[in-house]
Amino acid sequence: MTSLRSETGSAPFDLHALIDALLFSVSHDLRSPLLTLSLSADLLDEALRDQVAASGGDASTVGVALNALRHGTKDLERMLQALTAVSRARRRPLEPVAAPLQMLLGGHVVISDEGDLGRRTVSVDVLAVREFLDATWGDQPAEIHVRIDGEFAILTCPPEDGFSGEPLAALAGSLQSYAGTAVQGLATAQVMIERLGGSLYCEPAHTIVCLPLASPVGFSRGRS
Amino acid sequence: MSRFEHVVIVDDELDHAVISRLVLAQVAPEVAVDTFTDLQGLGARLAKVTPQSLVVMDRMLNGAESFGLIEQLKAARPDLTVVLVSAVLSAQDTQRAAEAGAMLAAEKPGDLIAWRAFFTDLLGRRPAESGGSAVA
Repeated sequence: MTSLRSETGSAPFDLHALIDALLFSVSHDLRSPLLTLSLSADLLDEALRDQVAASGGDASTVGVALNALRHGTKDLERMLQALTAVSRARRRPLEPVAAPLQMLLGGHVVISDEGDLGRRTVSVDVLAVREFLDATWGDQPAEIHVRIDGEFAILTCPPEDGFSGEPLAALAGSLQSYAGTAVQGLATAQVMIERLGGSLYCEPAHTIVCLPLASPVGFSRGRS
Repeated sequence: MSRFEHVVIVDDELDHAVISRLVLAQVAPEVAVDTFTDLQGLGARLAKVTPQSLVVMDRMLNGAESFGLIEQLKAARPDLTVVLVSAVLSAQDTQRAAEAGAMLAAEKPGDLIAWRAFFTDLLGRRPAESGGSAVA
């Protein structure tokens, strides 16, 4: 737990809990007035449609203002949805179990020099990881190279539009650039995979996913 | 003809409550609509609303979650149908709403057309068609 003690010397607080609360508060509380703005724009559009058409359509002052209001609310909605997605990834209950790698990667083209890959298991929440894999590469089988390095299975997956770096850091650094893009999906996956004890980052030519190997004896519970 | 003759909107955001009432009036002008935006004494006032009313309650009221209020309301007035709406809703929230006694939990629609469809379905059709998560 990351904790800080306030300057007043009062009890320490959990920084992660604070971030989670802030994420939820921002994504929820800011969306409410945004919805009001969006609905107001729709109501104005309906009420003034005839007037706008008679005075030059979208080029009229009212038309321009309504379009700007609508575009602004949609852009804000896009960015708030990104925060909501990260908030949900941080709050989602995860249940890591020992999952065979070949089962986890079923449907994709798995390439590996590891002789006993069929018996290797990783400690993950299967549903969460499959959702990520399907959402990112689900429309066609992806070529995934697998190797074992210490306590991790390293999955080298296809790249995502040439993006490189940590997707969560990129999204947090610029909602304007990355909200609603594939990087947002990678960022939420990074949140959940790191909660499971693994990691996810992007190189120009690959997406690298590190999943913790499960204990070799029986079913093991990972970190959550 | 609507399933409900009386709808109560509980939302601490006055503008949103007013717009909801406006949209409801467009969708079902025959339905009487009350808006509760002042949360002082809310529980007592809700306990006195018209029997068989539909209560559309915001999930966050003055920064506090309304699940407990729904639970108390359903215990005192089981005749009321409560629908929880929220700007953001997770599967866990839907589960909590069900446990509190809400008939439905739904994210607030993002545009006017979707709001009209939401209210139309709430008032006239089965909950599963309303775009939200039926919880009972």
